[in-house]
Amino acid sequence: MNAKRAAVAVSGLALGVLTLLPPLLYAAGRIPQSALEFWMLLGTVLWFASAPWWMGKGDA
Amino acid sequence: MNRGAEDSSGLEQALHAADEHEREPVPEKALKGPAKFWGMYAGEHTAGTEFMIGPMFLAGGVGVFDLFAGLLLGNLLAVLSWRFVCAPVATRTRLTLYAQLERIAGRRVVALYNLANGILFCFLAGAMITVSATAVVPALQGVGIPLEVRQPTLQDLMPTGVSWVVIVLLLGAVIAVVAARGYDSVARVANLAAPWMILIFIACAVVTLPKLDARSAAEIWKGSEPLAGSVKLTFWHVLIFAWCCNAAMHLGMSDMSVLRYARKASYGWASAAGMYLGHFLAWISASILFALEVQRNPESPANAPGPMVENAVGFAGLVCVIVAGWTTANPTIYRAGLAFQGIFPRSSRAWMTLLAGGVATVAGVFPAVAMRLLDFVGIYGTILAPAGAIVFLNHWAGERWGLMRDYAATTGAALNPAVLAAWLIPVGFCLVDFVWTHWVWPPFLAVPAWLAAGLLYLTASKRLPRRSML
Repeated sequence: MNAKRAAVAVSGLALGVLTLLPPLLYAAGRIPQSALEFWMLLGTVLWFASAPWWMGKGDA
Repeated sequence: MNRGAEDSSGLEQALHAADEHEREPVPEKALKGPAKFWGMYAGEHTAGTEFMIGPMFLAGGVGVFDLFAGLLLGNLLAVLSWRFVCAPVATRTRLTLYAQLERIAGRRVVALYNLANGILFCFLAGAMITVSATAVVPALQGVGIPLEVRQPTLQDLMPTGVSWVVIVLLLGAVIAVVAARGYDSVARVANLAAPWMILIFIACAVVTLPKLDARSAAEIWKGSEPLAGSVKLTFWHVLIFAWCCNAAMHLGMSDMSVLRYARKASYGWASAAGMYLGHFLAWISASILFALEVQRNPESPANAPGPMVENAVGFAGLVCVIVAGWTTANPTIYRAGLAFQGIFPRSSRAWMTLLAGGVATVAGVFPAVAMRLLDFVGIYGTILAPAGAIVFLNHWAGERWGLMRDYAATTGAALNPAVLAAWLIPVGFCLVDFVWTHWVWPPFLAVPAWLAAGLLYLTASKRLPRRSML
């Protein structure tokens, strides 16, 4: 149960912070293109590493 | 789009496993709740082909009002079609389109429908392989493999070179082999990718907007002359395309295979998730990406999603394009294989899937389908949607109009000539336009073909013998 909660938290971080936030910061001129690409790639890796642990689990 | 035939959801995966329901109504215990349908439609309609369709609006010189109003209203019409045409019949009969069509038209007509469906699926999958290939090239270059490949532009209908052919053949072979091995693992990846993919689309737009010289939306979608090789798009083009790009699924009823698992017909509203995330947000985002490509290369902009997305968000974008293309091509090839197997029931499903994959791969070598995707999707809907008119009228107008409901099942006929005539006559007229005259833009023909098929079916059915003559 705790592992599932942790996976949900990592997934939230991956999408909410690492995939959604960097484009907004880039558009506002706060981070460069290289940082945008790095954080979004990290978000992608974390999403695909964490989502299988909870997404679709417990479905009928 | 589509998945036209872009369906690869967990729900579909579950449905696929339930082979025992293929030819009989879904039992009460197998029905699904509404959340499944909202999730499925959101994922299914945010696919690799959205990367191709969005740029084509810009290439067609559409104006900003025409684009936004056309998409809002066209997608609304699509949602209403799912809700009020497809879902009520699906939840009352609990049958797949194939099973219901066989009950009305007989197995020979269904075999013909399967053939048309299978071939069209192959070309659609070919476009998806093309999309993925545009991202595989920069991804391989990014990891240090020296490749010289010219990406296709809107004018490219033939392969751009030997390297392009080799890349597509290799990619298509991998996709075909994976599809032949089964459906479930790719459907699982597609499910996982869906929420992330939607955010990547949005991120692409957010990152690209500051790079554009345009200061307002009206300076992006100017309503100007179309680029070479594109049709000039107006409000009506956008509205009809948004409505009919999935005509085979809603008006054509192929989504009965999904919605027959819905507890209520109101679950048809869930299609709004796919329309307004995939066919609104994703198309507009892809259009913005292409605006930057046109700004940088106005003479010959490449409509290659891979490099465009890489420029926007880097390697994560390339992963998105590859996953989007692969996870939609894979089930489409699988379904084409099933359609072919339906024609030759004794054949191996795996071999039929490999055959479908081979055809799709060859189609993917030619950028023509991807670069003319608006036309192809219109042809796809026009050929398959009329079958839905027949199913719709069989259900609602059958007894009221003095027709025999489920004619083939009732009489034992292997072929219902009224259905054959109602389907092939309007489609035949449309094919004349597609192949020779080119008077009408293909997506405009889907609804007239659907209406004509319905009228012909009503007329011809009254002349059918009450016992099988075949």
